[in-house]
Amino acid sequence: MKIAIGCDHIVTDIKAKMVLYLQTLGHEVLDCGTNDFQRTHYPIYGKEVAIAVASGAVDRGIVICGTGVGITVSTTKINGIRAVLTKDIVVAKVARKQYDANILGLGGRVVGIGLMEALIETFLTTPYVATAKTEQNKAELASYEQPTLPTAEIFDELLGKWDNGFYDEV
Amino acid sequence: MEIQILATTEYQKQATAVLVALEAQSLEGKLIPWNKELSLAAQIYDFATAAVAQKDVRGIIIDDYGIAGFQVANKVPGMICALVSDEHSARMTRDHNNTQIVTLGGKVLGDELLIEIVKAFVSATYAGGRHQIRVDMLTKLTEVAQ
Repeated sequence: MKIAIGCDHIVTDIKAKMVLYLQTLGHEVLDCGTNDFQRTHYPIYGKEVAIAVASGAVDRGIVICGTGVGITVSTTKINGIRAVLTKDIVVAKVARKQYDANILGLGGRVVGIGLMEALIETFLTTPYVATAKTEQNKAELASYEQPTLPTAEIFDELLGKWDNGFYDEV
Repeated sequence: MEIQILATTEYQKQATAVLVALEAQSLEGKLIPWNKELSLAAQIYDFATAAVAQKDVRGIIIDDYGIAGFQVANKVPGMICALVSDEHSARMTRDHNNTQIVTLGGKVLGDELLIEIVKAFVSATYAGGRHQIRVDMLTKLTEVAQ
């Protein structure tokens, strides 16, 4: 499978471990960054992973930040994304089987490496089982979306404000 | 701050237990009546839309796994909703993400853990500061989708 992966700057080392794990499993990895520990903002990388998934460039996406919440929520805002954020294997399994989840969110400061690998393995190997009800649920979720993707420049204005000291960097 | 709870038919008992636990902490919660005529997604979407409009509302959604709540509520422009199953994530996501709703899996969480997660969530406050640009970015992503 082709897998896109992204993270924020506090879990870059953990993402690197997951990239290796995915490659060991034989997957092709699209690493969307970030690639160092320089302070940055998780929606930048969540958006990249989500667009790769929504556009069909990759099969699935994996995103990691401290709790996993911020970066995973950023992917949910992109049309076509059905994300799950969990530390429970049963939830990862159900998210695939019943909800056809295409992005897995993980908390790098919540989940240990072993469990994280097991969550990824479950997420990638559990097939979606289409029924009339699950298909209806997917269609209903899609009905709440609009058919547009964010532009590459979407965050430029906010990043400009950041650079100009608008935000208190504490 | 107003605390609102939406729970599917199966988890009304847990929702009531949460209300009792909140009351013991002098916090008032409101259980939104479950409407069997409407779909789960429709009720989640309405619940999240109302929370965004009312601003000073913290929401709790309880369904089987928390997955539907997470997927649907986050499609509402301006909504930041977290699927959590531990107290640490519940507290940190208020602190860092300004999360307004948490979704909980009634099928996978024990009653006591579920209550502790809610207590951690409603007692934490948003830190702002550097986190605000990320929250603004999340809002921006749904603004463009409109």
